[in-house]
Amino acid sequence: MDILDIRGVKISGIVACLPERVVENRADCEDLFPEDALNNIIKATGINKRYVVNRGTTSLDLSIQAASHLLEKTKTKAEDIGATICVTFTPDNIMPSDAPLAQTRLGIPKDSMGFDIGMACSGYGYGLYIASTIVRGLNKKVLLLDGDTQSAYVSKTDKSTVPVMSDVGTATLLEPSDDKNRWKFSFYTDGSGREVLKIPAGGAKHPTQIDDLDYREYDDGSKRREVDIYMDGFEVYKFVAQDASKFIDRFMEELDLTPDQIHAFIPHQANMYMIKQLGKKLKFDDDKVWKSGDEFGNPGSASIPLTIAYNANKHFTNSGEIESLISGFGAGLSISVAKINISRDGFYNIIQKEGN
Amino acid sequence: MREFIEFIAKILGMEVEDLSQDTEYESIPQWDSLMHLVLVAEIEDKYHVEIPIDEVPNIKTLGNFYGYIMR
Repeated sequence: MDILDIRGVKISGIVACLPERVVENRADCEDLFPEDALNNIIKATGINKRYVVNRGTTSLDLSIQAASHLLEKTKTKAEDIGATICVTFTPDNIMPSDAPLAQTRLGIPKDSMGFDIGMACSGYGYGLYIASTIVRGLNKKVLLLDGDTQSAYVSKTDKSTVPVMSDVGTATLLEPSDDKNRWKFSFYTDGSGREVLKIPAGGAKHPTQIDDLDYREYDDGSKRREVDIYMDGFEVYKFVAQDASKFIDRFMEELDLTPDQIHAFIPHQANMYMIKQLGKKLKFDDDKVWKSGDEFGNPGSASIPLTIAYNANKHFTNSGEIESLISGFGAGLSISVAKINISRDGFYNIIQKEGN
Repeated sequence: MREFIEFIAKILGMEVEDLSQDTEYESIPQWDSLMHLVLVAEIEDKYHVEIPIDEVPNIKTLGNFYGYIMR
């Protein structure tokens, strides 16, 4: 296992911007499942409601709004930012990438980097690592936007994705720091599992054809198009339950980290049951496992910054630092895990885009 | 076993007669991946057992679930 080391970087703040619309699962899924089954599913996944965009709004809009708020509240001048990075698998367009629009709308200087990282649920760890290396390289602040408009690719008649998937946009500001904190990162990749979570059509391998827009019915009664997200829930669960739990465990072992040294375990909010069981397997007390999925659903890789923004202000330790273990896992198949610090002097907040 | 099957039948919304300890995951439309999680959560709740997360994907039949209750 390779462990990557980062020092001299800190998080100045994280803001998440929720989309306009709240959807209650009980109402939204009533045609998909019999009533008893739906009650059981909501109980087991722990996801009662989800936030989704109105048509025309994208996660990039939300991330930019989150970033404006973050820059304002941390009194950060746009001209002090050296790079804009967007983590997303649902960019506004296939070309160009999202980051240049964010750079322009936020007034970040033109002589700066702007690029996307095309990752799904493991993406935040990638974004944080790459952004941190750029903070070190430039000795400047870096803006990391993470968000997805999953609802644009979720079939409303697909049983495995509708009850869990949501949208959000987030902004994380990183800056150089002379404190002694060291962050550690590790990554895991297994492309042999790429078929279990994917959007079949719309890429260069399978450009969208007219019949890809027809709904097809599958054995479980789900109906979706080739341009919608397909998830083999069982195989994804197996990957998290077996590969991810082992990988995170090994990471802790390599670093001689015990659960009592960690204040917060912040996993990707796949669903509440999986998070609870993963925390248990890794021997974290349940109150150390930070959650947000019960409130906001599973919005993809941005579930981690959303969860930090949602929990940070409630959980500061006496020293003012929250020693945190974050881990994202999902499509690829892919895992990221990191030990980072969340500081008390950072700014953390959740806002919501107006409109219904 | 009968009581266990009755409990499962109620969750799946099926008749007891249509289930047995040999009923397999995905052999019936009612038992899909989401329902698999539901079954784990409900069984853990009712029988006060813990099924470790890494063992959940190895459970293929209702008999496998029953094995956790009997431990």
